[in-house]
Amino acid sequence: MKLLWLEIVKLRYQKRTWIGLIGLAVIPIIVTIAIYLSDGPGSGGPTALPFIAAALRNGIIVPILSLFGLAPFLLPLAASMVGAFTIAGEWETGTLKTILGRPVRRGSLLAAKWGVALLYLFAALLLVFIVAVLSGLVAFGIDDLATPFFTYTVATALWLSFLSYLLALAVVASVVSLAVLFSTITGSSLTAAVMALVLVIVVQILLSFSYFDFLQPYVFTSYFTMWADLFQEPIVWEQIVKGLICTTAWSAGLTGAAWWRFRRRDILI
Amino acid sequence: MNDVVLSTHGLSKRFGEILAVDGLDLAVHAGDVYGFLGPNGAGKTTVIRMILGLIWPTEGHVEVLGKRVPGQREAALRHLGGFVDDPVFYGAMTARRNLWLLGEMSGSAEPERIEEVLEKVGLADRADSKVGGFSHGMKQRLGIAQALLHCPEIIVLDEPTSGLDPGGMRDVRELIRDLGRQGTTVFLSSHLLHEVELVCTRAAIVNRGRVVVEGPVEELRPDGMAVKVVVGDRDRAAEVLGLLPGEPAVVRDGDDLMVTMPDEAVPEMVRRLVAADVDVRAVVPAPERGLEDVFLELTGAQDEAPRPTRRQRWKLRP
Repeated sequence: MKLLWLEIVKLRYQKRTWIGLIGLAVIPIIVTIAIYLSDGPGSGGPTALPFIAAALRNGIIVPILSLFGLAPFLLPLAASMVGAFTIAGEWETGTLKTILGRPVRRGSLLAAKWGVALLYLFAALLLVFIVAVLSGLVAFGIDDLATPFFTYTVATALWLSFLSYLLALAVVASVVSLAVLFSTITGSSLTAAVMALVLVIVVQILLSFSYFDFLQPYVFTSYFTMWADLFQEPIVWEQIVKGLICTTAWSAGLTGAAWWRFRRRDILI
Repeated sequence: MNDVVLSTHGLSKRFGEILAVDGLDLAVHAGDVYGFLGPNGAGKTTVIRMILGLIWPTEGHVEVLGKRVPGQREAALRHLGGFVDDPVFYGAMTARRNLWLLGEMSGSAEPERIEEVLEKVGLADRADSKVGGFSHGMKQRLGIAQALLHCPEIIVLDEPTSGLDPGGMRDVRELIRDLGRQGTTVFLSSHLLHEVELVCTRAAIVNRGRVVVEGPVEELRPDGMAVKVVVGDRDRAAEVLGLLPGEPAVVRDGDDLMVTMPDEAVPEMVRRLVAADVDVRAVVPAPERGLEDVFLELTGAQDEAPRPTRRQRWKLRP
């Protein structure tokens, strides 16, 4: 627990912490401006979803559209980088040998770093959510979300949006775990981040071919937009439950592998 | 005899095809200031990494106050502080913040204790500067400060004076001697014989991962030291010296006399010469006849470890 707190203290001193938060917080503002300037539903992308097309002048959809924009690329990118910095970041600067000269377990250190990486990404998503709600409110005002079939109250819509962000975090946790594993293998945070990101993207591309459909349920990248099912009436839980099981399994497996690798690694810096 | 507080048992480390440390057995007793002496590439740093639990021995283990490293690494590190290579800190944080962070990892970090160690290494006035702007020497001092922070019984320092200016070297050596006097056991590696002679009570000379010789520093040195004595009347002086206890070897070297005798007998020699009305113009140490001779003799001309081949270097990379 104390290690977790110390990692948070360290995070505060890193410029990239703040740059990352600002970068992500800008996304909902851009999304708001884009909706504001567009004059109608587009033919592809999220605006093709029925309820969104119907509500393009309602601020309530900004959080969901922002998440939709983040999901395929920026979110895995952020998760890869944050995960990659955990061990390799300190390996690069040489501080890893300094802190391992202290009586802390390597496993505890890894766990603390994993926890803080996830906590940071949770904070970033929360920030995105809040900025999205505020900028939607300022640009369009917030109203009940009316779709062709039913209407969500403001409270329900906000709650479902927030839940979507939490579900996205489950997939983010898997990407973080993957990046942490690479972070314990290589001594370079950049290498680890690129490895994780490339792997995630390559798998996403492979899965876009129907030949690989049989893999779909078992790969965590399939679940980046599983939260979309929350906006069915009634909510379809099947995919979401599958997604939570799948991402949790991957997170546990990858983090376990990272621990196995880091446990007895020679610190030669 | 004091208890053994730090020991290695058949400690070996292999990197690919290179045996960096080869069955090392060392025993450091409580209160020793122990010099771990060897040429560059002799495996000194590798041994210290194994003591700190940073790398896994291929064979053997380290024991710190009965706790095995790597098996009981955390328990051992509560009694031990130190650093390996150049100490590294978080550049964006102040010296005080760094110490706080590291102290918390060892249990707790009281502000008074942090102040105390900063004072001890002479960094009190830079406590609130960011470490990123510190010179090499200051980081070295901060490294010693963090080693002392949790009041460990044993301090392990890897070339603590490397890269320091003469003033800094003197301060650090003084600090190490102080620690020894206060009963802290110090284990320090060095490739400087002079340094080990100055601060250490015991020393081991290593080469190619093996101990070549080990013992109290005085015993490692050849018996006695040689001094050159410049006097007014050589014959009279030789006569007086012949009567000294221990019968030192006297050799005429041109107009001077070369005398080999124990260090502590030098003042007595001078007193006698003066008492016998011999003008003593100078007493100077003769060209170094000390640990250096032993060192060079033992480690031989090839003091470099075999260079790794390209393939091995690749394997060695982190």
